[in-house]
Amino acid sequence: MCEIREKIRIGMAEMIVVKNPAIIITTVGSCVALCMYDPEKKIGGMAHIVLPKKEDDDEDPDSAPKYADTAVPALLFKLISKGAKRENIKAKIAGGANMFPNLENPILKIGENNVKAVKEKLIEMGIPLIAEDTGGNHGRVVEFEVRTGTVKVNNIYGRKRVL
Amino acid sequence: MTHITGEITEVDILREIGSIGAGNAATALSELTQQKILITFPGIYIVSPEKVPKLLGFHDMPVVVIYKRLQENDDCDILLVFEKEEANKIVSAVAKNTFGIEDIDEEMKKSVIEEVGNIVIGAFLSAISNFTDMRLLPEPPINVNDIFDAILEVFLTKLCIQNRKAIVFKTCFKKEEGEIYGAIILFLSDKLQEDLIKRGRKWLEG
Repeated sequence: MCEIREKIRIGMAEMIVVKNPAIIITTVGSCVALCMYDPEKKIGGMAHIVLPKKEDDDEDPDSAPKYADTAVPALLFKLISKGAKRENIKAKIAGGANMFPNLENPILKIGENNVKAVKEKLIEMGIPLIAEDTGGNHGRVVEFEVRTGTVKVNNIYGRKRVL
Repeated sequence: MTHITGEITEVDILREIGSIGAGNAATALSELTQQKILITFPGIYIVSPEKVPKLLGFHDMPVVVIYKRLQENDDCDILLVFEKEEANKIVSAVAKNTFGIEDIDEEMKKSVIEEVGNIVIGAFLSAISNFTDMRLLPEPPINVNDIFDAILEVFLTKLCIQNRKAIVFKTCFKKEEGEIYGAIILFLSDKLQEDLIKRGRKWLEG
């Protein structure tokens, strides 16, 4: 019997957690796709992180997935509340590119800073980062298969990486 | 947005000014490619940056983007977007019309697409400049070849850092048979938005 796997696309600053065989998809340039999952319970989620740190003037109560320092705990909390065991949870990340390498603008370093901030927060929260595809000067289409924990990363040049 | 009259809003004024620019840009593109190019009804969106990818709807499309920033107006970004295959066709058409050959090397292709960007974005801005009597000079073009949403993130992230809403003007180019061919996307700065509305209002009031 063929299993039907739903494909769910998330956009900038969005987050989702599922406990079915869904595939979560997003596209990132300088942003980071943070995938976290419990391989035993087969529960997983993704956050599309835009910036390293939450600003004081952002009063939006739904903005947690937007920032590395708030997305990691928010995704962890959501996974646990759906039944994942904290000690089983692992992370994989993709993204953090510099899309305009020829331009001199501090904003364009944001990809590098996003990756650094996500890694720091994962270490702080004791979540092992087991695979990554980060940096470079190209966009990535990221597909996270929750059932297996596999993350497929494709770029426009035809390169396909499996994390 | 406030209403200027009972019927004409600031959004209508921005849309009208954008249409004038887009019409001129389509004429320039038609002349370059020797094809009839039309424009779609322009959209003006004032939304949080995170909502822009869904509104524009190009997502994982492989594209060539020619990006220009306005001089003296750091927060105003203009993107000329072509689906990758269409960009190749444009380059071939322009190379054939200009040099008499279709096959050119990668470096030359890059120069041609940047020149197309110069001409089309230049036509867009000069029509708006003439209409509003404003100085709108762009910086040299930068050309990026990648997935649309990944490129778009750069401009949206800038708005997120500044904690600003995105003010986006978008119009698509289409061929006579209706196929979407490309698009002009303009991220307006607050200052340029205000100036354009002020000039548009003056024009409306005669």
